[in-house]
Amino acid sequence: MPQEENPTVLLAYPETVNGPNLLQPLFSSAIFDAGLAMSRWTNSAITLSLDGIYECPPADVCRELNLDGELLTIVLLDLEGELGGTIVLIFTERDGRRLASSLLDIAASDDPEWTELECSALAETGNILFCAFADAITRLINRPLLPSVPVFVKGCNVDEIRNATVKRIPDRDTVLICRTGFHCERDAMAWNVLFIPTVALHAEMEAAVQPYSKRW
Amino acid sequence: MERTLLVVDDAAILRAKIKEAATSIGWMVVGEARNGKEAVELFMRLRPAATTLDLVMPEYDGIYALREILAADPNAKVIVVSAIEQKAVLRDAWSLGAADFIIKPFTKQVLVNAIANFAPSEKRLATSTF
Repeated sequence: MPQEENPTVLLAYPETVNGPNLLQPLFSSAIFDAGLAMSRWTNSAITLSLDGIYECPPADVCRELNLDGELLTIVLLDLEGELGGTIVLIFTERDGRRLASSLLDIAASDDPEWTELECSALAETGNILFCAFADAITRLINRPLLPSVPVFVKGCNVDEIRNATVKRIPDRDTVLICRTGFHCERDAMAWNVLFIPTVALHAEMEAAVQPYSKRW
Repeated sequence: MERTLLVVDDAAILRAKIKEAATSIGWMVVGEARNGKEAVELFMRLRPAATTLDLVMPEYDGIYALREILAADPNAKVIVVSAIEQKAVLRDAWSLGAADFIIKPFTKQVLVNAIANFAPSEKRLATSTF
């Protein structure tokens, strides 16, 4: 299928260096660093994989990530400074709870009320993941990307995630999704990362990798 | 001077981890703060031997606290504990006078070593008195 007929599946055409595909090496590096940070944080072998880079309208984000119908927990963090953006870490409630219990070394709770420590465990997971991600991008573009305080929200539905996403990217009519797979030991986990750069940051990242693309 | 520590981080899980590491080597956590403003207030009141300080926190951040604490006590031992590993941020923290910088996520051993470096030494204090 020609690329223009299916603009959301760009990694299927590795010979193409236009559009988001150009950013593949950058995201691969960021995801590698984020995987190391996550392994240290969780004290287990967490592997992250770059499963795809997509551009899609904000309204389609949840469908692209197969999130429809799930009750979700998110950690959201904005990149502050001249070049902005947003990163969202999305878990199912069950996976979020499992991660929190593992980090706190306690049995997973089914109490609908989360404790301060549980909320903090997930917010800090987002913070550590996103900082590793932002640090890797910063090394390439040579401009600071300072993350905000992470915001933890539980019990979200897809509409709330969609609205939060649209609100944060007034200058964009598409969202860049860096689809990231998470594995703990050999088990796949239902975690997702959305990286939504502003137009300015997106352009800066593409300009930074452009010189290298000629070698591919 | 006693081995007293002020822990500043908006994340409860990290305050708990730092507290656990510090107490395991005989330090006493005398205060916990969730933002830069609380950190400065507690530092002025408690005058701890060392302080661990997160950078990104709500309302008043760690850079604000670092500046205020060192203005009040230029010899204060402030260990910055942050997930941000960017040149500009590290440079700012060092230039303001941070005593050490630990990148999150850290192992307990790294944290313990950093805190132990700032243990007040009775022998050294006695020598310097004379």
